[in-house]
Amino acid sequence: MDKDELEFLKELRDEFYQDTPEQLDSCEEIILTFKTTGDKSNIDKLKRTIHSLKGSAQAVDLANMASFFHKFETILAASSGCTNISNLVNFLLLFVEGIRNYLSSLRTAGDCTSCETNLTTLLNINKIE
Amino acid sequence: MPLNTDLDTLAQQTKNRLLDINTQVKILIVEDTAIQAKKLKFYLEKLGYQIVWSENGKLALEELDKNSFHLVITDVQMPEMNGLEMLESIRSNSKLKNTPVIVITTLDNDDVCEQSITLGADDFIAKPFQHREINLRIQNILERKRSEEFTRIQLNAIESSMDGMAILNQNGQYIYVNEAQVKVFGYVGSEEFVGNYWESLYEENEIKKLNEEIWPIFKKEGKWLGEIMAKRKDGTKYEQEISLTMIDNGKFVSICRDISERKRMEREKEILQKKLYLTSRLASIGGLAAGVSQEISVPLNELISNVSNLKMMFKENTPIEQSKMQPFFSHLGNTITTITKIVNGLRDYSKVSHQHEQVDLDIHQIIKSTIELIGSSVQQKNIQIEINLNATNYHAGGDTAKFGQVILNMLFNAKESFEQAGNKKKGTIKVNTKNVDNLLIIEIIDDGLGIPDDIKPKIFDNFFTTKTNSTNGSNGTGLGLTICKTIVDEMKGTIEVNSIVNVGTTFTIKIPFICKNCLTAP
Ligand SMILES: Nc1ncnc2c1ncn2[C@@H]1O[C@H](COP(=O)(O)OP(=O)(O)O)[C@@H](O)[C@H]1O
Ligand SMILES: [Mg+2]
Repeated sequence: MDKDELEFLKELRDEFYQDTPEQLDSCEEIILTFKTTGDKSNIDKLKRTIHSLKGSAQAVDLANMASFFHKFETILAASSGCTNISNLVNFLLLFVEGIRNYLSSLRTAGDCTSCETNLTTLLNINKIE
Repeated sequence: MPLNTDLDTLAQQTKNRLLDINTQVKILIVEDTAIQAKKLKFYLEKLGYQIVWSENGKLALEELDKNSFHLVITDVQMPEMNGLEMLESIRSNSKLKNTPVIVITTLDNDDVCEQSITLGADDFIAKPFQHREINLRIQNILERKRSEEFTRIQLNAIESSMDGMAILNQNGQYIYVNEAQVKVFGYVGSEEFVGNYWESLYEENEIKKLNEEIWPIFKKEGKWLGEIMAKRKDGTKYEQEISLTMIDNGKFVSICRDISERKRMEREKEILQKKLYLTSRLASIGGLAAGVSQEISVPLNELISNVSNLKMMFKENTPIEQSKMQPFFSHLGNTITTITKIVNGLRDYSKVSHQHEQVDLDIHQIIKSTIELIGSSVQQKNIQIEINLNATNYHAGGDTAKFGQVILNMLFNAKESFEQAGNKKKGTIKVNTKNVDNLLIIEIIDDGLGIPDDIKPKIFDNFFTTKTNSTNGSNGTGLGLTICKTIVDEMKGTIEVNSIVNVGTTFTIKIPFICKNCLTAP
């Protein structure tokens, strides 16, 4: 990798750090609309946003973050039959919150093992009915 | 345009028409996520591609409508219009349908892969991907497209060629023909043509020639180019230029063209040139008048002096009856007056025809256009004309038509000197100009027959000619050089000849030039 490339990748990652919180805000909005309306099309919207975020995380070489998004996508895909809306909404909000923390720690400290553990646990224990 | 006979050249020309080969490859990236798009753009630009980025399928279609691209790389999931919908639009658009499309997808989504294949994606690539990988895919697709396009254009070129093109098998049977080939032989469709043997398309004599003369050469050299009489479906004959090229397994390619029209034009040109030649002879008539007047005035003078002698004689020996002689003398006198009138009239006529205004002539221009005028008639006779116009002052006072006549006469004489020398001997005529002192010097040099010393002094004489039994059917008038001399005299110039038998002849014309850049006239 030459200097150009390193520089470019660093800029790109900065851009990711800067843009993602906004994306997460809109994720929360979508989740809250889902909560009040129960409209499942919001879940599709959320899927699309998360899918983009996954792609971006991959692009800036944040493989772990990408894999969290990926697992989350899979859970979302399986959520169509879910009847316990408030349970689901809670889980969704927790995940977004977890990502937000993870992201800000990455940005300041470069890594965050505890954030990763939390997210892994959250995604593992969740059972959507 | 010559018959295109070299298949390699044809292929190369076709290849050159492919814009892909040397121009920068232009790729449209369709991706809604800025970061992903930017990364892909960064790497592809690093690899030398020209990249445009659209944020969704709809915007991409707008971009594709405005500009052309060699390749589209698209994401699937996008707002407004997703990648698959866009792919569908591209494939159903007659202008865009050949544009290669690579779909970026996630490996675990079989549905998307299957759909994109059905919709006509050229390739896909799974996220996350290495940029090296995507470059390989791009190269593959472009190479494939290039060879597809190459074949398409080549076929197109062959099909739309004005020359008839055909492939024949080892038995001399047509196995492929293009449209022109069908037309040139007066057939309607290629179905009617394919399967025919070439023997059925040529004159019997020509088949003999083909088998005995052409075929052995072709077999040995793998190539043959020449002219041959062909036969249309309706039996009419026409001249054809044809090239044969061996390919493989005894198969060969024939490229042909109907040249009867060209031949007809060549013949017409030849006739025109003959006419031109005659016209130049007729142009001598102006000079002929001068010649005739001079010719008549000589015996006339003799007659006059004889008659006056006679008169004297009668005066001295008186016994003859004057009254009887009177009608005879008056008759003689009338005749003399008449002849004198004619002579004067002719002289006046010749003067009138010589009374052109002296204008500023561009001698180089006149030389060039005169050579152009007779150029091809001379070339046909295997004579080369070389011009070296080195004079810097090449303007002189005179009359365009007349000076043109001088050059024309000189060139015809030179040309005829080769014909006189024997059966259309090869030769070179040089026309040089240079400046010496205040003179413009024009040399007309040939390496023809030359002029024997004993006739050299006579060549400028009226009616002197050695072309009494000329090979080209028109005898000499013996006036050409007389006219040349008169015209050059009028221009206050001189004309000289140097010649060695069997080596050649040089005519040197020296005329005072009009100086364009001098302060005082020379
Ligand atoms: N370039 C030349 N080479 C050889 N002989 C020439 C050349 N130019 C002129 N002559 C001789 O001079 C003669 C007179 O020429 P010209 O006055 O033009 O009359 P014509 O060409 O009609 O014979 C020619 O018949 C020929 O014998
Ligand atoms: Mg002559």
